[in-house]
This record gives sequence, structure tokens and C-alpha cells, in this order.
Amino acid sequence: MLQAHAPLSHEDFQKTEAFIQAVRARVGTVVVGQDVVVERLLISLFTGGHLLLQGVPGLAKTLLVSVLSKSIDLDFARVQFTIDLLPSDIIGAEILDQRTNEFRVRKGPIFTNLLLADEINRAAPKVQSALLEAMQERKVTIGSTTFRLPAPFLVIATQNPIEQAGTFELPEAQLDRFMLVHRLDYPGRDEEREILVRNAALGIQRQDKGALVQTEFDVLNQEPVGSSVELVAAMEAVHRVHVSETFVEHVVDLVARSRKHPAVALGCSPRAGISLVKASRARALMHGRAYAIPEDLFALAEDVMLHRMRLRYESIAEGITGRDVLADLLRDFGGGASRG
Amino acid sequence: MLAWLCWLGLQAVQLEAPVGLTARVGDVVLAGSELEVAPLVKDSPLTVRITRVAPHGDAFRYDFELVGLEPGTHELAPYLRRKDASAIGELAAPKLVVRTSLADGQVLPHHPPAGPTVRFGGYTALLWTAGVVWIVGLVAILYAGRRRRAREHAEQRPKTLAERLEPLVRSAIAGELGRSERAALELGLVAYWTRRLGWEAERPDHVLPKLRAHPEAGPLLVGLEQWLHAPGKPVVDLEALLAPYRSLPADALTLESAGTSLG
Repeated sequence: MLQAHAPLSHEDFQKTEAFIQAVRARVGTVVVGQDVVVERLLISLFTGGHLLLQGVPGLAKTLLVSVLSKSIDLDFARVQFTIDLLPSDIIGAEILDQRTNEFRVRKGPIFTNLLLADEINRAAPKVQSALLEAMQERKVTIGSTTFRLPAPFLVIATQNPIEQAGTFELPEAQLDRFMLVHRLDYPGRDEEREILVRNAALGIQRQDKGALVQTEFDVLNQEPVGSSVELVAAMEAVHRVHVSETFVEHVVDLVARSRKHPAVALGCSPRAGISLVKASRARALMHGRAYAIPEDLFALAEDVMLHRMRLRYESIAEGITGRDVLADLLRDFGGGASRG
Repeated sequence: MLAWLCWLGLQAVQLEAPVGLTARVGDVVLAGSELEVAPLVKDSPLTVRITRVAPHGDAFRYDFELVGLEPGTHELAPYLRRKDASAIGELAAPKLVVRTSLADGQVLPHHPPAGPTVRFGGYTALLWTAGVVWIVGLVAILYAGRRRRAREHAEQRPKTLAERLEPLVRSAIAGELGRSERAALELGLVAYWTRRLGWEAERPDHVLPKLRAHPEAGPLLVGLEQWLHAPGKPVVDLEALLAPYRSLPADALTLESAGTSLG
């Protein structure tokens, strides 16, 4: 039983629930649908795990992260990764101050609470490596000085799964640093209609002598609905969510099965199990429970486990996908029918 | 002296050979025109073959191979004739004495003594018996192999869901469940309801929320979740909760997946 902290009191539970609802409601005013993505973002934020969003352009990834940062009064920075990006462009560098003739540290955009690393796979491996190292250690060294990154610190990276030309695929070891990899789907028909209606309602913004067509970014409510204090309280509440021995048994069993599946060359690491427990705690809280249940495990298995499994070449040649394998694992796990 | 030599030359040579074996004689000078072997007649006691002929002055010199088929002394002259069909006349041809190993008066060899009959029915019956025994043995081996495989298959058959759930339910009610058995019980009941509601083909992560919301399965699974996962000691009447699963119909819940964590 994982219960190192004091049990979650009813009052704390209600406060956290209200905070989560307020953030979700605020995000909902700007972003239509994407409830699962919002949930994954909050899970990452509450557990301190980083998130990789895989999806085609135009699914409001940047808008989502932007509105989330504004909702909780967090610093937000966005870096568009390109082939010519250097590690110092993210981390920062020492520059020579010609007035004092001394080197001065200029911190990079990584010194923020929420960092959106857009199209992370377009940067060279040394840039990816620098970012992922900072994600892991939560501190960076510029020159001879080591700086701690602000807390909370969360990297939300995006990756376009379609255009692979001129990209550098993240190796498994670096993908493992992301607690969750969520695959974005297109919005539903009703959601898409709502997006169009809302966009059509946007007006013109006068600026100097001219005017600009407003975007969703222009209408973001700058007033936060939650503070960093509430965020910290929510993070503490997540750590007080009860995890039973039975739940841990389920996690251990599922992770072990991923290593034995015939289609899998490389199964999940123990870090996958840790991430499953962490993420399940946050999800339980977001679903109004003070304890994790198998539903949390099943719901998060794809985002936590899929990027940590490598299929055999023979399996890939046979057209088996990671999702097929995961569905197989979960069906076997639950004692259901096997995939034919 | 010369006259004596001529007399010797005119004297017929006498050869000896056992019945059926070849006797050879060479450089036999016979006067007159060239001789050849007369056509062989049936049951002839002697067969003659001239292997070489060469002129010898007015005469010819012959090499003979003779095979006697009947014991006794055989003249060679009756088996020869002149190539020019002239009369054969007096010939000082060799004689062949054919010896026999048989006793006097015995014409044919002894028959081998008849042995005792060693087995009933003879060799054919023996073959039939061996064939029948071989077929019966083969059938017995095949039948025994099939029975053994069937027995092994029955032993290795994955237990049905009902077979696995029942002892877990009994242990749960008796408060004797271990950590892994609790996990097995929970997932077993999820599998039970998934099958019962025919939702096996749906995505597993979508099935669980539906099961929890189901009017029949929901209360059980939520109650079980509280008992297994909620902190403290939740008030759950486990006996009442699990009572319907004490005796499940085994045939209705055959578990095909061997990879389940149950049991």
C-alpha cells in the first residue's frame, strides 16, 4: 500500500476538486472538446511528469497549453524546434557585457513553468538531448554555474507524426523521459461545428492605424482561476491519493506482461510502472476519487506504455501495431478474449 | 620306329571325366577331309564341340571339348560328320570314359529327407499371424497415444473462468485472499461481466467505464473496488456481494485466453 503521506481530508479533496473544475471550465471556454487532452495536461502538471503530444497541426495544442498556463498563473514559453536550433537557444548562454567586460548569464526560454517544445523531432539530437537532460534533472548548467529550473516545471512537447522528412526521431531512452505520450485525434463533428461557430464570432482588433483579425489567443482571459498555491495543494492532494496493494499488483502484472508479449522486442521499463501509479493517482482525483482503481490503469495504459514498448520487426512486417499489442495485453489482463 | 609312331598316331586316345564335366583334348589328327559336329539329338549321352581345326598335311588337326551325360565309354565318331558329306569311314577318334559317383544301378540322386512340420498351418499362416499381430499392435499404440494426449490436453486445458473464480470467491468470503488473489478476483469478475455482456470485442479501456455504469454489473464492481482499493476499512458486505458468483455455470464461461492472471 502506497500511503507515505497523511490521508486526503475531505476538505482538501473538495478544494482540489473545485480547483480542477475551475481550470477545466476555463480551458473549455477557449478550447472545444479535447477533454482527454486537458485531463492529460493536468495529470502531467500535478505529477510533474512531462507530456508529449502527437498529432497533426491545427489541433489547438499551443492554444491549449497557453490557456492552461494563464488559468493557473504560470509562466509559459514556446520554442519552435528547427534543424538549426542550438542547445544555448533553449538553455541560455554566457554573453560578454561590453560595458563591464564581464560574462553575463542570459537564461534561455527553459526557465519557465510551462515550456511548449513545438515539433521536438525537428531539432538536432544534441538539442533534444539538452532539453531532455534538463527535464530529467530539473536544473541546467550555463558556463560554470548550475541553475535550478522554476517549480513547477513541465515540458509539453509536440510531434507531427505525418511529416517525417528532415526529422530526428526520439530514441526510446529519451521517449521514456516523457511520462505520457498522448495521441491527439481530430475533434468530433459537433465539436468541430462549435469550433467554427466560435471562430466566426471573433472580430477585428484595431491596432495603430490598422486592424488585425482576432484569433483565439487574443480573447484569452488573462485573469487566472487558480494560483500556484492551489496548484501545489493539488499536487500534494495527488500524492495523498490512496494506492492499494491490489492496484500495485495490477500495475506490476501489466508491466510484466508487456515484456513477455511475443510481438514485443522491448517491454516497458520499471519507470512505466512508476508513471502508471503516479498518473492513476492524478486521474483518480480528477474523477472524484481518493483512491486509484483499475479504470485509471486501463485509461492511462496507452499514454504511459505505448511509447515504452518496441515491437519486433517481424510483428511490424505483419502489420501489428503497438495499439494492437496493448489491446491484447489489456484483454488478457482482464481475462477477456484474445485478439484473433 | 616310324611305323610304331604311325601306329600310335592311329590309336584312339581315351579320356576320362565325371558325368557332366568337360574333358578337353587337343591336337588330335584325324585323316580325311574336315570334320564337323553332327547336329545334337535329343537325350544324346554325349555332347561334342570342336574348338579348333587346323590343316595337317592331308589330314586335319582338332581340339575337342567333350561332355558326357551318361556313364560309360563313348565313341566320338558317331557325333561327327564330314563337311563335304562324304562317308566318315574309319576314324581313330578319342573315346570318352564317363565315370559316375552314384552306386551301381542308381539312376537319380537321393531325395533330401523330409523334415518335421515345424508350425501349424505353414509359412503362409505364420505370415498372416504376424501381419495381424503387427496391425493390432499398431492400433494399440496409436490408441494409447491418443488417450495419453487427450489426458495431457485435459490436464493442460486452461481452467474455465468459473473454475477459477469459485475458489477465489470462497476465499474472499472467508477472508483468506492474498494480494495476488485479490487482483485475480477483481480482474476475473471484470472478465466475467465483459463476457456476459458480449463486450469482448470492444477496446478494454472503454469497457471498464461501461461496466461500472452498468445497472447490474456496476454495483458489484464498484463495491468490490471499494473493498479492494479504498483506504481504511470500507463497509462492504462481501458475502452478499459475492454470493451470486459462488456457483457459476462452468459451460457458459469458458476462458480461452491462457494468458490471464487468474489462478
